[in-house]
Amino acid sequence: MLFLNKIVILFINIYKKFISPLFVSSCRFYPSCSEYARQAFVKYNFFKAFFYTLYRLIRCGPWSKGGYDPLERHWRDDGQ
Amino acid sequence: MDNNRTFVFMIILTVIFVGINVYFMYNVKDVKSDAVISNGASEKKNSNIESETTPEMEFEALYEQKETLEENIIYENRNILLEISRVNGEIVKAYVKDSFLDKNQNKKFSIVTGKPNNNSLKLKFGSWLNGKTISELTGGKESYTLEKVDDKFIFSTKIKDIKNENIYKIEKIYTFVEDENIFRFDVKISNDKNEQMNFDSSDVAFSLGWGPDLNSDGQKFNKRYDMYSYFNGKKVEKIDIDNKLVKRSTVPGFGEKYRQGGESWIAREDRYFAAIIYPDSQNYKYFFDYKDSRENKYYCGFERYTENSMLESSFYIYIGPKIRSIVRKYNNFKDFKLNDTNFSKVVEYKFFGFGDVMGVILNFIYKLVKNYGLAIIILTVLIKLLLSPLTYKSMESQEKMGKLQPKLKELQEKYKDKPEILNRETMNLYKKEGVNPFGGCFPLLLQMPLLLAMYQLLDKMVELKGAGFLWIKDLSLPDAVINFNFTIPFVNISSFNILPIVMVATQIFSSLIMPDMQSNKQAKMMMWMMPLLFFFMFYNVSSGLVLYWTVMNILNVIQQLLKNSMKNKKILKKA
Repeated sequence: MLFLNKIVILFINIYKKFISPLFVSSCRFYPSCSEYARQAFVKYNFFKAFFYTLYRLIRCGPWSKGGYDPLERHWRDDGQ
Repeated sequence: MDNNRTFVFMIILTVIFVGINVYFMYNVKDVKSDAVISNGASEKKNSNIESETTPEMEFEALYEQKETLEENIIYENRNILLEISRVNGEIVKAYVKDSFLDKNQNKKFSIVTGKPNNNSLKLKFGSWLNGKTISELTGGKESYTLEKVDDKFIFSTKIKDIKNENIYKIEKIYTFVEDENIFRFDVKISNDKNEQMNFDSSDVAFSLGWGPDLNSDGQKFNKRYDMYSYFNGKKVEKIDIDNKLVKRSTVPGFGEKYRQGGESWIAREDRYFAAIIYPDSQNYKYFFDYKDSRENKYYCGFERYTENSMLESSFYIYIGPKIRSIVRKYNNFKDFKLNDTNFSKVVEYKFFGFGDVMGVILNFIYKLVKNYGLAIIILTVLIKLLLSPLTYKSMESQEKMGKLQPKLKELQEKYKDKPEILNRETMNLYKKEGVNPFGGCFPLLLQMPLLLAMYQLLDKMVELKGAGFLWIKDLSLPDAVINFNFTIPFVNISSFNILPIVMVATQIFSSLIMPDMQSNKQAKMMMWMMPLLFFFMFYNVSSGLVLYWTVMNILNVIQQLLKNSMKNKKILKKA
C-alpha cells in the first residue's frame, strides 16, 4: 500500500472516531462516505481511490436516492 | 469506551487550543506604555555614555545646533501622518488616517512606532551590526539643518574624518506627494576627497533599518498577524523569528540575504496594515534583525555598499491598509517612475481568492445598506438561502418519514443483534420508498469552503475598522463591553465580550432542537463540548466574524423549527 494511502486512512480514522460524532449524521448511503473512502484507500491506489471517493461524495446529496451502496457495486476488483 | 473516547478527545482539543494560544501570543509589555518617545532626552543620555567610555573620536561634527530641538516635525496629508525627528530626520512614528474608510471619523492608526533611541526609520553609518549613528561617531549631539522646499524635507549635516580630513556631507531627503500613501526617502552621502567611505571595518557605507514595532490596534504581538515579509522576486516570503534565514545565521537572530536579482520590497505587516519599504535597483544586502526580540524590538532593512566620493539611494515607502484596490495603485506609480513594484502582493488572497469574492459581495451590500453589521447579516442570509435548495429536499422527506415508522420498527426488531445488516436494510428501505431523512455529505462539505472563506475574510477585513453595529463599537475588534485590567492566561481573556456568549447560546440551542441528537450519549456530551470550544476559539476574534457565526446559528434554528412544524402539521393532519 502506498505511504500516501496510509496517511489518508489515518486521517479518515481520526475523522470517524473524533470528528464525525460531533455532527448530526448526514450520509444518505450505507456504508457511509467516510467508510467508503477508507475501504477505497485500502483497496486501490491513491488516484483511483481519490476518484472513487469524489464520485461517491458528489452522489451523496438530495439529488440521489441513497441506500445500500458498497464499493463493489460500481468498481470491479481491479485493485492491487 | 464511549466516555473514554470523549475524554481523550477533550484532552486533545485542550492541548491544541492552549498550544495555539501559547505559540501565537508573545507576552510582551503593553506597547502603549512603551511607545512614548523622548528623542532629545535619549540622545543626551547617549552622548553622555559616549564621552565617558570613548574619549578619542575618529569623527568630528561640523554642524552643531546650539539648542536641542526636541519637538518632532509633522508631515500630514489626507492619508498619512508622519512624525519626523527634528534631531536627526528619522521617522519617529507613522500613522495611517482612516480616509480609506467610507465613514471616516478623522481617526488615525499608528503604523510604525519607534522606541527611545530606536526610531522607526533608523540610519547607521557602516553595517547594521557594527555601524554607528552620528552621535556615536562624533561623541556629540546629532544635529541637522532642515530645509523645506515644496513637498520636500531636506535634512543635512556634515562630519569630518579627523584622520584624513575628509569631509562628509550627509543628506536625508523626504519627498511627499499630496494625498498619497507613498513617499520617497533619499540618502545622499558625499565626500570632497574622492576617497572610499569608511565608517567601520565593513564594506557597507550605511544601513537603513525599518521597524521596530507595528501595532495598529495596540494589541499584543501575535505571530499569526504581525510579521516581516519580503518579496523575493516570485512570491512573498514571511520572515518570522523561526525562519531558516534567521535561525541558521552566523549571528543568532540576525538573518541576511544578498540581493541577487528579483528581491524587492520588505514590509512590516500586521493584521490590517502594511508598511512597505521598496529600494531602488542598486545592490543591497537585506537584513532581518530579531536579536532584541525579547524587548519587542524588530528591524528589517538594507545595507548599502560603500562607494567612492558620492552615494545616492532612494527608498519608496508605502504605509496604508492592506486593501488590494489601494495598494495596487502603487504597483506602477508615475510620480516616482515606479514600475512593477509588486506592492499589491502584500495583500494575501483569502482562501484561494474565494474569500476575496465574498469581500466584493459584502462591500457591494454595504454600499446599499451603509452598515457593515447589516451587510454581514444579509450576506449570511444569502449564503443560507443558496444552500437551502439542498436542505429543502431533506425537509420534504421528513414529512414522509412518518409513514415509514412501522416498517422501520419491524426491521429494528428483526435485526436487533446485527446492527450492520440493520443499517443496510434501513438504507434499502429508504431507497425503495424514495425517502431519505439525511441531507447528504456533499451539502455538508460544500459549507466548509464557505465558512473558511468567511472566516479568513472577516478576520482581516480592514473596512470593518470603526464600523459600529448595535452595541458593538468596532466590528474589527471583540465587542469588549468591560475591559479587565488583567488577562486570564492560556485562554487569553482580558475583557468581557457579550457577542461570543450570544453565539454559544444560539449554538447550544440549535443543537438542542436537533432531533437525532438526543439518541447518542456521546453526541449529547459533544453537544456541550463543541460550543465551549467555539466560545474560547471565537472569544478574541473580530466581532464581525462572531456576528456571522451567530446569525448562521440563528438561521439554523429557524430552519430546524420550520422542519419540526412541518412534521407536526403532518401528524396533526393524520389525527
